[in-house]
Amino acid sequence: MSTAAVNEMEFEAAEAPPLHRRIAGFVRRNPNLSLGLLMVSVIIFVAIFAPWIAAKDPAELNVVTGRLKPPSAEYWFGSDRFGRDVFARAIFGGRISLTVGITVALLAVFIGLMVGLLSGYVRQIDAWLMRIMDGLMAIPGLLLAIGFIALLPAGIETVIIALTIPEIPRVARLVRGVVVVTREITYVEAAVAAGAGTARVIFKHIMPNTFAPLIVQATFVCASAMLSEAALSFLGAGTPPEIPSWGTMMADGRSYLSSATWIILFPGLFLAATVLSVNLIGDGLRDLLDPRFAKEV
Amino acid sequence: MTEAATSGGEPLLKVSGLKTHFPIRKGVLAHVTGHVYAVDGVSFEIERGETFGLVGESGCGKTTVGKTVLRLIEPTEGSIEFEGRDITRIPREEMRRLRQRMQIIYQDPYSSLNPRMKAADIVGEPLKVHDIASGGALRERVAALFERVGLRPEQLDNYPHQFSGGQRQRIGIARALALSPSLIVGDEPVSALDVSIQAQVINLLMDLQEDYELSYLFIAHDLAVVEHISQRIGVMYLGRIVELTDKRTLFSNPLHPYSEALLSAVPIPDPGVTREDRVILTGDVPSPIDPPKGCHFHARCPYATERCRMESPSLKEVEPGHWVSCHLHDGSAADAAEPRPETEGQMENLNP
Repeated sequence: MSTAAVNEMEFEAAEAPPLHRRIAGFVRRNPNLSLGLLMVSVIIFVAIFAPWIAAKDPAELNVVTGRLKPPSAEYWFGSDRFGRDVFARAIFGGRISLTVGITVALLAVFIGLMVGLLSGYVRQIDAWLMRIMDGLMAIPGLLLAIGFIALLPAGIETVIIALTIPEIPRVARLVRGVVVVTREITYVEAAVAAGAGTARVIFKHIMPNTFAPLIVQATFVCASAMLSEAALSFLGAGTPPEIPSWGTMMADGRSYLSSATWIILFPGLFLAATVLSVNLIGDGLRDLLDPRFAKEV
Repeated sequence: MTEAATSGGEPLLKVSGLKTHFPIRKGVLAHVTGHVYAVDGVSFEIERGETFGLVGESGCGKTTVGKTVLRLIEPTEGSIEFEGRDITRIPREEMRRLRQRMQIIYQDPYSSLNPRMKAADIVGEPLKVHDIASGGALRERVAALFERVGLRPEQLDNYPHQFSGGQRQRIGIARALALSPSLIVGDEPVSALDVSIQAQVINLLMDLQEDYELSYLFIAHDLAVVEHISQRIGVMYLGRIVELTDKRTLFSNPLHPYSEALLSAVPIPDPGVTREDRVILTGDVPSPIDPPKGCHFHARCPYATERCRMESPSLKEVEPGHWVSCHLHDGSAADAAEPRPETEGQMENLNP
């Protein structure tokens, strides 16, 4: 009896190591996810506290003495053709990229989830919805986005809408795939047999199965939306030029690529680091949530 | 129990000429290229308080019958009368409310419970969706159901994976019982369980039947289990009932050649005894997509005649309460190849 009690205590002690050990263990098991989370946290922190971190106002002009200065103590990342501080603009630009990326991911996942649930569960409208989704997928995303931007008034909302629409079909297809498999599991039929209505069957019994793949998909949508936003802005079809975003900054710096590389280099690096870290989170979550992809521990 | 089953009054469930065909769709336009004749003309009745066993080998359509009766699968033809009311075509919402009266216990205790829900929520779901109880009252009723099926109330907040197979099946039973239905379809409710657990669950089902005056449509392929729990048994072969009678008659005097073969396959629990009356069938069950003409069983029947190949036999009452679908037993046995002695005697009785 007493040995059993002691064993139990030892067992419990072994189950709950101190917090720092647990964090260390998590990092060792999920290196990608941990690195991605760390990087994204830093980027989000910098973007939120940009006004306090940047010494200069991103819109402050210095046309007389500060044009096209290389990186220095005064201009950490150099200055652009109007004498604006590239460092200040780069960290303020992160706000646009993150806002666009996160909003597009949330919107695309929400709308795609609804479309996918309906399509997968209500057989009568499945073919119709999926053909519409196929149609959207047949047009290159960026082209479709430019089309929407041409139709709608300029602004960040337009960019978000234009980037969300091409992402919806991918999310919808993913959700539909999960629904089609899940609806055949006996507990779904059991819920119907118990007298559950369609809404309850869909939202309570089927939808939770889509969450794991959706979270992963959301990170990829976020990364791809940030890249697309930059591409649109670079092409002059995205964020209005007066708002600093990585895309508009790179478009600005294009003409000075050989003489003032820093104008295009730093926003480019920031964009690459952000997209990379979001993708790392996506990969890490997939490994964590789907044991089939998990590596040996 | 048997008295109650044979007493007068309308039956609880009356299924007539039930057909469930699944279309086979092919190609881009998903046009129908054929049908799976899963259930192809099945009729039976279940009295109040009775257990009606449905046996047959895999793929004979017995599960489809059970699910069609509950309209979890829509019937193609025929009618289902439940508590004196035709429910074959009633609207979805009305059917949903009627599910309070008819429930199902599934074969697989693993896939039939949502792994993300607590046991108490699973058992309480029928009560919740029919607005019968909520909050504390709901929890109390669920706790009472737990106790009734032999689960401990401390397990209310456990998830399905924390239970054993037998316990999970008890959760399934508690869920079916929650609304105090009058009919429970048991879709092979014990076949996935260990033999020792099977007996416990069967006894639980029989106790519950007595306490709640339940009727069971008990679907199984294990004849010993069906013999133990049922009053009457229907034998199915390829979408049709070939023989239907009370269990004593079926086990002592099976008339359909398929029932004969099926019963002779029941093992005798004594290694010293070998069965002498063993009927071994040759060939496989034909595909329900393209069932044979005439009697569905003729290709494997040792007594098949020309008539069996051409003409489909109908279910006829050869003696009171004993229905057989076989040309050997329809009273005009003149062209039967080799009527067996014992059946000949019966036919004389029927046709003086």
